Amino acid sequence: MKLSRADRSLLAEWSFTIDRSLLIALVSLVVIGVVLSAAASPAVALKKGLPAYYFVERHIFFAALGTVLMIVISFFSPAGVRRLAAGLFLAAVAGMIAVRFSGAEINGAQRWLNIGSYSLQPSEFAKPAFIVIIAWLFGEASSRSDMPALPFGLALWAFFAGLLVAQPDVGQTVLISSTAGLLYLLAGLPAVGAGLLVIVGSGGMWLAYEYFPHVQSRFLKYFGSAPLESSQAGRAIQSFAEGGLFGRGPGEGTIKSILPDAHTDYIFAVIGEEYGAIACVALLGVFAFITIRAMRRAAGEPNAADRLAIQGLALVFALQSLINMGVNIGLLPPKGMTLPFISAGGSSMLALSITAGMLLALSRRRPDPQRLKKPRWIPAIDEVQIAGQTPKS
Amino acid sequence: MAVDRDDVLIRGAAAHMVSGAGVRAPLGRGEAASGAPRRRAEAAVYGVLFSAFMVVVAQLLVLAVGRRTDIALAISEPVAATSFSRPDIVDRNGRLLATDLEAPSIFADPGVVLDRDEVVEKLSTVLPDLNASELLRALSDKSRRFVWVRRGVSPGIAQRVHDLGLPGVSFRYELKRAYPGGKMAGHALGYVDVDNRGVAGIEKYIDDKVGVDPVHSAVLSNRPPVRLSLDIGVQHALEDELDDAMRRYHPEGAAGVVLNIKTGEILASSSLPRVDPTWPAQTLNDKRVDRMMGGTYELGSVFKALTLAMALDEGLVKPDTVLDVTKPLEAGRFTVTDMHPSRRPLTVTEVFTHSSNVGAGMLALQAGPEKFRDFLQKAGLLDPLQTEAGAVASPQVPQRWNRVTTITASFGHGIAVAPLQFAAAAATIFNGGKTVHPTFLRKFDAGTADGKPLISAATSRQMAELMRANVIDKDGTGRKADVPGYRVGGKTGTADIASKGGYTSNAVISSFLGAFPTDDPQYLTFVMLFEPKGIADTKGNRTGGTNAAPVTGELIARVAAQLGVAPQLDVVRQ
Repeated sequence: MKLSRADRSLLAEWSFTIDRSLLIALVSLVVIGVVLSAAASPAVALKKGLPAYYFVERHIFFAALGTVLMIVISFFSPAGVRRLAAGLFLAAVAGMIAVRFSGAEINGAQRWLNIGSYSLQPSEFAKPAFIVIIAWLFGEASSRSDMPALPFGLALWAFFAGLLVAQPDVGQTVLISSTAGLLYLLAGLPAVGAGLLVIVGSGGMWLAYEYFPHVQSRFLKYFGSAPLESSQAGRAIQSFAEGGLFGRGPGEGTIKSILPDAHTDYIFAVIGEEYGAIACVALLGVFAFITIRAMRRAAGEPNAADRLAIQGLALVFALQSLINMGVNIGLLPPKGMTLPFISAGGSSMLALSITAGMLLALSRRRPDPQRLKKPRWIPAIDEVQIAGQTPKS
Repeated sequence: MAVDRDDVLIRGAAAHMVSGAGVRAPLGRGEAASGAPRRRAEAAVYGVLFSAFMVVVAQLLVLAVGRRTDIALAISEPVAATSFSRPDIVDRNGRLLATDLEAPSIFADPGVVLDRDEVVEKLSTVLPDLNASELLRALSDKSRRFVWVRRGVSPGIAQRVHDLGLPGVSFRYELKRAYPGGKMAGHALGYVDVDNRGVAGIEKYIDDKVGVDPVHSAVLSNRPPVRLSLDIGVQHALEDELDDAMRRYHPEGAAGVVLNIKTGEILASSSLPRVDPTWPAQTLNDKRVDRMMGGTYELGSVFKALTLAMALDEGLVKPDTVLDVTKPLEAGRFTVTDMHPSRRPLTVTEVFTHSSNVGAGMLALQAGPEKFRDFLQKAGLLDPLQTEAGAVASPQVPQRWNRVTTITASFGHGIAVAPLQFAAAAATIFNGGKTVHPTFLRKFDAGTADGKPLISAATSRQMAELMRANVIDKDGTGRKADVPGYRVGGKTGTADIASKGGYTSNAVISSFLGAFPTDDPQYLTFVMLFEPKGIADTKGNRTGGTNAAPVTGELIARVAAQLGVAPQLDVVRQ
């Protein structure tokens, strides 16, 4: 299908304004995820007494649904994205509260809401919505003073973090708090506040360590005062050593039949064992490319709320992948976090598709009066003119 | 800081001058007002993100190409079976005795195997001794993903199994212990189990005291080799001479040791029939017991060297003191006689060279049971002995020391010790009188005996002279052990073997305790033949002087130069 520049239809406009590199990178990540799921999950499924391709089929279903969702959302305008975020956030928060009362407890945490045969994790969906809203509030706070946006933003942050801690989900709390904290900095808000946030954050971490036994045990395991052997984390680290640079070869891995979370939180270790460190670095490269691409788009965005939203969504995407990989390679203490688009899990896949859709929507090229008026780069010669040394013609 | 701000203001002003001729462009809704802090924050965030990505890349590469044993050590529980990487074992000169080799191990994945009958049948063509029914049972459990078929096979076998093209049958490289010397020093080296863990001998000592590293694949140890006191050259000469003795005298078994009398270092130790460290099951065969360490024997007349040393050291007699050995010695219901009773009284020297039981008994009685027992105790013969190759069989000692046991012990009966333990005690007599602890490890400190003094240096010298006299005198029992130039001294032993209810007169242990060079003793040899047969060469005799002595002579002729003992041909008959 060839589209004309003169064509003002929705599709034509979308195809010319969308960041194609970003779109291609995201879609290829989804495809890579399907392929790797086929490699890692049959072993886990068999171990759990499920049909071999149970997780693969689910993964393909959610990947297809997620891709559609991502493309649809990418058509939204910035205002539309914010409206979507507000609605999604309200629904997700309602879900998170409902989880408190009806949710099933898995691994000692209440995170899941059962809808029919699928279980849904509302907090995953709240994540991108929260980022867009807090970006908008911080953006407002940095550009106008007639609205108490900053107190609103901080209150929302505290509320959301509180809900996550109540589940308890310390990993997600750390993820959204780091993202929100970085957004605060990126918004150019007062530095005193940033210092205060660091203090509150450290206090929160300390409280988590004190009051959640699982946080304490994982932390101790990680820092060596508790035994590491036989833990998933220990075996994951080992699989990278087994894989070496080029891996043991597709299907030759053994770790996937040992780790119960080989298809979700520890899929990176499976990749490391079967395909080797070079493939891992290549996958990391795709994540890094998406992050950098989005950040570069953000840099040229004049509207503070939109810029912060792009940066926030890219950050949450980058941090989540970094935390997951960091846990896999033993740099961070274990926490339940998926590798975006690669790990199995319906909620995570759909929520990340929404994140990616919003990222694509916000990063679309839009006509900007400021950009048309102002030169993109202020030449150095201007300074010469200021100094009164007008060059002779 | 202030300069920066000014700069920004000027830049901003310039921009507006260019774009709107001094007219301030209206700020877009939501446009950030503070440019500089924002830029700095962005740079910082990008920097942190970039570093985080780089740290992940670095850690990935470190894990992938880093030393695997480090990681293996950090996580003690393995993905599949763990084996152990072991340091090499080398002789005193660094020549290889044991090392780890990479060897393929065959395993099957029941979840992948399509036709288990076919797998078992075809594997049996390559591995005929495969336990087919056991493997069939293991393969029928589809939930198991890992079943060993055979570990540590040769590359040729692995290739043939590979060529069968059986789905679900794969290989894993593991370490397998290899002994380049074959059966050489097999008893001392011990053996390892299928996981490459030491089970016996020096190999067990390495596990207990030196250290081995758990590994998941064929990762060779980077520990320094374990250097033994053994000398491959001396060990080979000893084993070769004992082989020769087995052919000539047809004994049930033979054993020998070469000991550095000052340091206690064991230069060679062998027991025939030998064991192959790669076939541990052989050690279960009673005939293949390590006769040097694993069994205790009544050693007979060689014990007289100890009795005489005590008597001389206590000052009870001098070498020329005359003893009346013409009459048998009454000992309870027994009567002790000599094999060839002398018709005249003998000097102490002659008691030794004629190997008179009556004379030895008289000397022990002169000292008394207490003193004799204390002497054996101090010589280390009554307590259990431990070496790096394992524990030496505990000595069997008379419970009460009375007249009878004192007389019998004086010529090596009624007391049974492991030959190695006896050799170590005998070393004391020639090294200047200090006790030594026998060791299989190379000692690098100066070669002087530093144990507790047992006898005086003068007595030690006298004993060396007596030993030499026994070899060079025209009626000495050890004449066949002499080697021109190497000043060999020695004592023969021919012990009746104890059996139910008494001693069998037709089965003996013949032995020869040798020391050289007797003008400054450095090395001790102890050669034993178990139940040798009389042959034409020995005129039907089975005494130590007729078989163990010539074996010792041939052994010393071969090893003396290797051990750095210079021949002195002008003092052949000193």
